[in-house]
Amino acid sequence: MNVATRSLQDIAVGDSLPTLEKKIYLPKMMAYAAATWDFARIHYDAAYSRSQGLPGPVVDGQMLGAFLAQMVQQWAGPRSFLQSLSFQNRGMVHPGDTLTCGGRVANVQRDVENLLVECDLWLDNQKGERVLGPASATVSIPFQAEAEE
Amino acid sequence: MRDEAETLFQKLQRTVGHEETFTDDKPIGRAAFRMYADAVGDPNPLYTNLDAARKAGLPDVMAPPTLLTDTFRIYPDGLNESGLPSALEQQSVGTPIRAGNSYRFFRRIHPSDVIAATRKVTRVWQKQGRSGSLAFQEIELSYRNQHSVLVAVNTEVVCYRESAEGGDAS
Repeated sequence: MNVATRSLQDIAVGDSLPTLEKKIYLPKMMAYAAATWDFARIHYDAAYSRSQGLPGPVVDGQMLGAFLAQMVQQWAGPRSFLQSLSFQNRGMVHPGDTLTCGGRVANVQRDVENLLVECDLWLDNQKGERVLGPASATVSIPFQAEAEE
Repeated sequence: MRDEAETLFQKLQRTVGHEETFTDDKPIGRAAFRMYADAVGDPNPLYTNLDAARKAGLPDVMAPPTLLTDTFRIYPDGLNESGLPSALEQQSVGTPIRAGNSYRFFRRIHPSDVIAATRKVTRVWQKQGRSGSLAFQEIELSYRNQHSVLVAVNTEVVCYRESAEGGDAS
């Protein structure tokens, strides 16, 4: 469900965003390397990663940010605009991990044309360990989006 | 070990203030949007479906916002043996680990846009971690389109362990 299916007036501090689950596997990590032209070997080369003291290939930290952006935009709807996204990397993510993105509305403001929603975000692995956070995003949702529904 | 850490930090200090602008040699293109969306598993039709984009009031499909702030396609001169852009070797002094990113987005990106990024090392600092001394480097990347309009800013922080050698980024 995104905000197109509900009234913008109903969005309130404390609302939870629908969670987003991501299963991590190596082909996706290689695809991300190709899509971003970032071929750092620690993101796909197991032997090289171990030679660097890592347990195995490590997910590009910015790929995790993309998951948060997806969650926020899915919730905010197609006419929304992601104004900002910030995150701190706290733990490494490896192939085989399953991640859960979560978020909560932290502040709501209005200007002439938009609802401005600030969200606190986080990302945990299957062990319940926080791998990304604190994190936050601000998304603008035009009132026009609701008028057209 | 303390000398090693200090040497690494001195190398990092010499990167502060370094600023360089890199301009892509072609429009970003719609294929890039699909590749990125597939990689992260984001089915948002605004990235790939023109009808959906127009229904949302857009002139064309739009880029996933974080594609812009994580693309290395702007860097010339190919890759080094670690898989990193050769153009960044002078500003990389060890094996960094990503500490965090802060993105600000001002405009959507469409397939015909040509991106230029100004990359500046803004500051470095040290901190004592559980496993020894850590050095941090903050880099600000400002992205402009072909009309010189600022479309996004990415402030990223990477961390170096004192014994690191090589040149990988996470």
